[in-house]
Amino acid sequence: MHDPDAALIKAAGAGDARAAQTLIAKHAPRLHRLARRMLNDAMEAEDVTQDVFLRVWKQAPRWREGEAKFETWMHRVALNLCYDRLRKRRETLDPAAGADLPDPARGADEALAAAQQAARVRAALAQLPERQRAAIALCHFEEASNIEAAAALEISVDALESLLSRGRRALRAALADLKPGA
Amino acid sequence: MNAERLTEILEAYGADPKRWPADEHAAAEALLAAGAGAEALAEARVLDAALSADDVSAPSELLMRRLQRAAPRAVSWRAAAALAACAVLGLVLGYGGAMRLAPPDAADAVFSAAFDIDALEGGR
Repeated sequence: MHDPDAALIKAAGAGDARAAQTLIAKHAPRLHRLARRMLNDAMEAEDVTQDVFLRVWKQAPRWREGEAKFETWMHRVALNLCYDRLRKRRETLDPAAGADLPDPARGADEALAAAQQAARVRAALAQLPERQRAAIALCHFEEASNIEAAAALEISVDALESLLSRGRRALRAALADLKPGA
Repeated sequence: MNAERLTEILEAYGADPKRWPADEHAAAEALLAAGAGAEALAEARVLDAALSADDVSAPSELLMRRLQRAAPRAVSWRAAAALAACAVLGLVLGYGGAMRLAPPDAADAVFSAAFDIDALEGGR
């Protein structure tokens, strides 16, 4: 299996700043969105993205093409970091964590309505069990293939489909009153 | 592929063929074109549209700069050569300085013995 990032990782590991920049531009936004959807918290999502890249830079000089694609490995690391943070939240019962509000700076009514819809979707996602949320974040929002998403979640494709079906069913129930584009 | 599998695909992956399993893509499209799965397709479209409201903002510029700053840096041959030159210079200067010092003499031995408790006690 050819890893499209293999050459970039090797170059970044050897100190090639341009290769590092390309990896960041390609993967940081995806990782950030994934963490944001998992944690529903912009600051924590940035922390997770940074933690993933610290591991990437540490691993880059020794990276070898193997079973998992580099991107799959990064998704797996990001998800595990998210699971850790969600577990700590449950242990500390922090009511303020994971409760991003619509950005008031957007101001206009239209933007506010869009932000409120987005907040509804995020709240519905936040209510899903972690694994269902991760499956939907990867397959629906990041458009990862079923094989890549199953590898990132370390489950079979059948198990992934089960998570996706149950997750989408719960979301449909939670968002039944949401009119698209309203 | 049968209609049941088509419904499973729509319920798991949604209405957009770009998210469907690559190896079942063509068969699912053909079955849909033949009129199967219409209800599941409509339901999937509604949920896909609702989910599209979740537009997550891009990571901050500050984060992107922090990631870049933490990336591995190559050690240039000039920096490596300068470091090696400093080490050699330090060795040369240290060795030369030590050679200029006077060798220990009898006075040093007496001075050292004055602070040697065992020697003092033995002398009583």
